Amino acid sequence: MTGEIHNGRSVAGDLDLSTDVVIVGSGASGAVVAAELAEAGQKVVVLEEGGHHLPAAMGAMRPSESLRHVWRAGSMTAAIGIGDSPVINVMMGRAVGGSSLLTGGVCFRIPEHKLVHWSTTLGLTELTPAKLEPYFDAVERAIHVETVPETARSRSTVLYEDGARKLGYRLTPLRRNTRGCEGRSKCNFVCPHQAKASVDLTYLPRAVAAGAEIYADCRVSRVVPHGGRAVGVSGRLLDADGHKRGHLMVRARRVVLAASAWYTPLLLWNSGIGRGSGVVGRNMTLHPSLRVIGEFDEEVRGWHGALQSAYSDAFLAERLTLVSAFVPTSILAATMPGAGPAFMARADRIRHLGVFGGMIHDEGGGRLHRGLGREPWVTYRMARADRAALSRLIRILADTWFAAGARRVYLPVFGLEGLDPSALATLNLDRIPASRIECTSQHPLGTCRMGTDRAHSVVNQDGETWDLPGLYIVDGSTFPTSLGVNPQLGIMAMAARAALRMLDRPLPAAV
Amino acid sequence: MSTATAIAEALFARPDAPPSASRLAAFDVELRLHFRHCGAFARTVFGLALFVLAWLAPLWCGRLPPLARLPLARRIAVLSKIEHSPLQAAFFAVKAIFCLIYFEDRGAAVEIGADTPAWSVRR
Repeated sequence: MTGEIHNGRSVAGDLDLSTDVVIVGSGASGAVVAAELAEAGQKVVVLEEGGHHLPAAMGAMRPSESLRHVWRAGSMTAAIGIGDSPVINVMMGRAVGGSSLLTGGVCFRIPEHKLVHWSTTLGLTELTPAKLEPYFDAVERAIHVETVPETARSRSTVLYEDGARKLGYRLTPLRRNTRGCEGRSKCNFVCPHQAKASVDLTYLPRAVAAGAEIYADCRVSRVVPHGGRAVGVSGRLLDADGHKRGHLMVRARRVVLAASAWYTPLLLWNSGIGRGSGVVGRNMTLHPSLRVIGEFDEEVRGWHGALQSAYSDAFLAERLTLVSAFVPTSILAATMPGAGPAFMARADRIRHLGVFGGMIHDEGGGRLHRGLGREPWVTYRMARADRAALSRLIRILADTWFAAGARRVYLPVFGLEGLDPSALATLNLDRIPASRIECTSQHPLGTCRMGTDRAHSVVNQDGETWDLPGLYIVDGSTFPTSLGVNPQLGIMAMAARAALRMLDRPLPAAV
Repeated sequence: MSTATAIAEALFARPDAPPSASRLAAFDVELRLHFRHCGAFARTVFGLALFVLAWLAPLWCGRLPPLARLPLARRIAVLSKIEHSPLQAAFFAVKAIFCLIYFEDRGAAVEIGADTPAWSVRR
């Protein structure tokens, strides 16, 4: 029996369903669980707040169209810096396929040293490298993880690697979930030719083929408990512009939250779940990321080539990962300082710009708060060591650009002019208020963390909440620490594991 | 002239002239479309940022608001100065969205040397 993807905006009146399992969120984690459970014969309903767009239609969108139709809140989501901390713009997807539509496709397994820490120091004995390996293997096969060939590198990345070599460190090819990438540098706005194996092209079709029903335009507001366990979810149907329409009620024998580290805590709060531990919504890590731009005499045209193709872990001891990146030309222009003729003169030089980025393996410091209406507000107090790492990261990237022959660099500091080597040498980055540093994140994690006791965690090692049996969390919110690498593959592997653990236990009786 | 158009005219002005009226008009249409579909939260945040630039930024620079009533040269000066002020986050948010939309105009993209694959510009 084949399922279907339904547009909630087209449903007349209210929507009332009964199923074995309801999954909230159709992104990387929800899609994996949906496919695994549906293929095992369970009746699955997936609810997605965003709309459903066909892959070709999304691929044809201009970046601004993608921003308003596929990104959450038109990219205006951010963590507000507290103390000497930057404002961190957080990118998330809001469509069938979730944030997997918007990643650069970078796939890292959870680093072994992290899993060792989790399984020994934190007592999560089920999360050893050996026990997780089969899940990584299966997910990598399903989403076609491949090594980015050096020929796919942009001129920007080639130049950066030249600088890195001169400074004594190397770049390593990234692995990404792609098939036939043509290097359009548009990954963050949905691949224009469906070469990125996002879940709308992989796991969700599998789930639908196995009978799963996916409903777009469905905003879940709370989990419904009954008799001491989760028995469903309720919420509202939305129209094309996100306005509320009819009511939504899905009764289920098992409830799975896959709404991201940003929204899953809100669902718990709205449902009165997880108050005991006091950790719901806390401990958010973000992998604060930034980019430094090098300006060359030669034409670079760095947007020709894979958006992300290489990385360096040469500074892992300093909790830094360097990763190649690029952006569409309109975004690149926006990174130039100034207004009017001075700004446009710099924008005229975008052909000469190279971009390279990096991320910090942060210690946490993010915290969700209830906001007015649907959106939470998030604060982020950067640890002192992370703030120092931010300066260090900028310095490494800038020095490397100069070693590569850049004439000047543009640092991610609001309003700061381009710097030549002597200006950079005299600049004390630690004295710049962090609020002026432009940071982004695509990796919110840790707000419903996994643990071995209910006093300090929200879910157990199976992903089931301590407070409400039958309620599972499978997204990145369960990660007990930051990873220091892009988490998509880790999230999917952990979700696959959670799904199989669910299958190990019989479904409870329907209420 | 709306606040958004006044900011765009100043932000994208070249030494010889501001953007053409037709390009600004197309920008304005696209911007309105964007905020009709991007959700209430984004509209609220962006509205606040525009308010800051329209009313607080001129005051910060010793000029009488609103920004849209200032001559072009003064608007450019205000925006340039605000980039180094505590109000800079508002300017950056507006600038990011404005650039994204403005440089999707084929002519604007070509002027700054961007290639123009089909998905990157308005048809």
